[in-house]
Amino acid sequence: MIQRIATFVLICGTLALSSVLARADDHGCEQNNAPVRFVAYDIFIDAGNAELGAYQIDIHDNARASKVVGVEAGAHEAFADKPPYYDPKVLNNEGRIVLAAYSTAEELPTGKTRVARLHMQVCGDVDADFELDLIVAADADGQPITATATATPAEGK
Amino acid sequence: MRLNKKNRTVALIALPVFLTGALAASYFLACAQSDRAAGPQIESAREAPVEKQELQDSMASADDWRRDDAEDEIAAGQPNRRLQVGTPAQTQLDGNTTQYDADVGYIAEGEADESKDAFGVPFGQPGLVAPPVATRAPAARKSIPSRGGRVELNSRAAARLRAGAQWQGFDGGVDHRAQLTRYPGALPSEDEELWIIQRVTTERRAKPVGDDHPGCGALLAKLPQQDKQVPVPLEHTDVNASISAYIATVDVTQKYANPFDRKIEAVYVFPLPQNAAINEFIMTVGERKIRGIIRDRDEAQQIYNQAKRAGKVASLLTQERPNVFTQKVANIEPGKKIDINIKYFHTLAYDDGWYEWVFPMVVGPRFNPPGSTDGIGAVPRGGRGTSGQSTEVAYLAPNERSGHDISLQVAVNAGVSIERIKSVNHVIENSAGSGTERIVKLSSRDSIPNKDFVLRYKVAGDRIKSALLTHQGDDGAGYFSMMIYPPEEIGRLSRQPVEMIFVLDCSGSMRGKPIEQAKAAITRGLRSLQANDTFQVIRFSNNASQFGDRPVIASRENIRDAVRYVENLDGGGGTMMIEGIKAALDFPHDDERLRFVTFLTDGFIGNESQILAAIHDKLDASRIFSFGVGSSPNRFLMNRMAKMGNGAVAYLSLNDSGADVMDHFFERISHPALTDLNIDWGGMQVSDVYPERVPDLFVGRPVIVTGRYSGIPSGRIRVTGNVGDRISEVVINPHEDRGAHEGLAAVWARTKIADMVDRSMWQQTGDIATQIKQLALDYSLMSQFTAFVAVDSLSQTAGDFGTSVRVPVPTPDGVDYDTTVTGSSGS
Repeated sequence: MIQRIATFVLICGTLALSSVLARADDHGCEQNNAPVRFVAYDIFIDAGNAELGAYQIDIHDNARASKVVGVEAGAHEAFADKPPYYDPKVLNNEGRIVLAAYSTAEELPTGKTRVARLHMQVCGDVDADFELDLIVAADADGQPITATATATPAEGK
Repeated sequence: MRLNKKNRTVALIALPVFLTGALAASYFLACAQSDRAAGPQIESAREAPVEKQELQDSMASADDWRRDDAEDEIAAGQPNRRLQVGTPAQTQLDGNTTQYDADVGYIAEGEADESKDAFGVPFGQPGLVAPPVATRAPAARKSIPSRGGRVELNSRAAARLRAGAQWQGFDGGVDHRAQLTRYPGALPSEDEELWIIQRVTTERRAKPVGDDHPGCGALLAKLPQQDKQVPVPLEHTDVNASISAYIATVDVTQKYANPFDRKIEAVYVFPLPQNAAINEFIMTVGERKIRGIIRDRDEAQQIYNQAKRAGKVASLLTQERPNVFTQKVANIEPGKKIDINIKYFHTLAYDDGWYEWVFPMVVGPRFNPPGSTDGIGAVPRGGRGTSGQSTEVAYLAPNERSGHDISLQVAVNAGVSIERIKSVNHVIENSAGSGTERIVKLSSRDSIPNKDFVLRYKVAGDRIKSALLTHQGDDGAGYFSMMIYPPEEIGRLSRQPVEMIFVLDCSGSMRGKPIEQAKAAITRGLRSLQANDTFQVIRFSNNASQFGDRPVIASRENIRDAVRYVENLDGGGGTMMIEGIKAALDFPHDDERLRFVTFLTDGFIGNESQILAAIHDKLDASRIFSFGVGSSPNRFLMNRMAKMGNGAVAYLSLNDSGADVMDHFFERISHPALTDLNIDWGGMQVSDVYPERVPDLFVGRPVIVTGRYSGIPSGRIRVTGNVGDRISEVVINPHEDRGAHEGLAAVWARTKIADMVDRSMWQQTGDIATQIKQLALDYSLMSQFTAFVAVDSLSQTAGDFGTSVRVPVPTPDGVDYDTTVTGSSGS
């Protein structure tokens, strides 16, 4: 199953999210007396008719308005047992969130499925500007598949 | 600053406190009081200006204390000495009786830093305190009837009391009145004043009442014993480990639940192996699993506090010592459960055919030298803030039990046939497996987490082969770990004469079986010396003393006398290990002999850095062999002392034979070590190899080095070293590794951090701190400068963030609670 994430196909899904988010600066909210809120974003991958076995996705807030404070597992059983991994080096040095996961489950999701949920801290009065880059999506055999990625504010649990 | 009178005295202070009305006599009124203290009202009250003149007078009197004290000291027959009293520990004996125990010390005026109290805490700061853990003096006890059923010292006020004087203070609308009463035989005299100074927390937080009970309702665990049942927010710990070759992967799941009727924050201080590379943290809320993020420690703390204030379920994991961690879980609503999963990797110890895997279960009660504030304090359950240390562990009294238990399973894949397997401290269920594999479970009959779980298994053959393990990381970088086993030939050589220094910890925490074990080991060691050896026996607690003026020849008479000397030693007093270090290392080296210094101690101290730095400075030609004594010794300190002292570590549990452990040690030192090791990596391109200085090799005891490599390992690796005036060689074939070792990157990074931390003890730490933080962030590793934080942003709990409830833990098996926690019987 390791091959599932070893195959690379670049699929870009770029979107901008305008939301009622506030800007965070590098020094945190408290120094600016900015209001702090915690919000969540659902990350979806739509694999169409293909089964989704693995993925890697790059998420970047161009406005630097948010800070990730948790990465939650996906909705489908195949991705619900363990939250996706994130790349600590990229997060630490570049501020981007690179998520990756694979599943060895018999049943894999098709169509649009929530693969992760990002818990973010936001503050200030500037909207965030998220950009998603689906680096790779693969099926159960590790073969690249065509898919798109989107993110929307999470509702409920 | 130092206390120049070690034999602390005991003061008994009667503070009959009159709470408003019949507060404590009434359950409902007690509830009301509990609510006030635990909820936001207290926060408001704490920030409100003090209105009562009596309290202001009491605080203001701190300005002129010196003049009066001087007069009183003379009157008390203690010229030039100042009396200081620690925060009294209070115990409710029954509805009308409260017992106060306080530690008292004198300080010489000429030596004192006048801006600080006798325990090194600056005057004039909020939170002024004289921490009782600085003394742990024997304490007499008296029962003092109080007119209220509940006693609470004003949390902000400095009470300056003269015998017969009254004091009144207010806190949160509660009227506190106290009167100092002198009892025969107890300090102070009628001419002396006592200062009773209660710590004030600077962090804004809800304050628990009494024994960390928020509200009045709680679901108590049902236990078969007659012991008092204590509700705790940690129900269960589950440990699942797998071992492949000499690398362990361990999953620890802490199951938190709120048994109270109010929202709480759970705080748990717990141990993990000192070389654990923690790189995964997952919080489970209901069915949802949220991976924690590694952050700069301050940043993580800030995120956690903001989430807590916002009513979000959140968790924070911080490192207090390489082997001591604090887990906080915020906003646990009544009846709700939250799991925290921690994953780590570490290498196993190997010694003469036996591998050893350890899971520590409890942090032992530490002694902190006077003046220290960044140690790890030991307090009774409900005694928050009384130790004066930045980290505190709350201990259950001997007659108390919590429902927290532990389950543990270890899957061993040794790769070679396992001949024997045993648990040192626990009852286990050893399932059948193939010749090379075993699954071991902790018996449910032995699930109280009050001692280290120590699993030892013997693999086939007298010795293992030196081996190299490799792993290719996701980023393409290669990581390796190499176990270097000493060449067989050094086992055939005899040693030089030795100068053997036995150093025995005689502090209160060693009292009982631990010190008896240690004495048996030293006695065996003395009788194992050869006629041309010399030896010395040093004991330390509050100070150090020794058997002879200098090391003496190992004659029959000297050994007989030394054995008698050892037999008469007992545990009591503090753990001023620095005194033992000085006594053992501060005298000229005998060039004719190899000097071996053996420390036998539980290592229950909070100033490890000071001790290790002293060893670094004073070591010279000595080698240090540390023996961790007891059921839960401070393994971080033991390992680092041995590493820094170019020696080795061994453990003497309560179930081990002291004689056997010492025999094993003598077997090791009966042959010369392979020193000045040099590694020729052949065709392997390596970098960042740690430890930077490869330790010496002793018979039966391999060392492990880790590093990074590029390309494909090729050729043969040759390790050479000196055995006396000869050169010896070990050859390793890098092609024999066929395993998958995903933890190697984390193990390498953790080893590098440990190496940098060691260096920071005697070098400027600024740059090293930055490097450690960067490395830990890059590898998602726990360190003293990083922390894991997880927030469930979708959760929204109602109301204030509730009361902080610490998880009290049992004292380690064999460690006396009264001696080490309350200080009431001589530590």
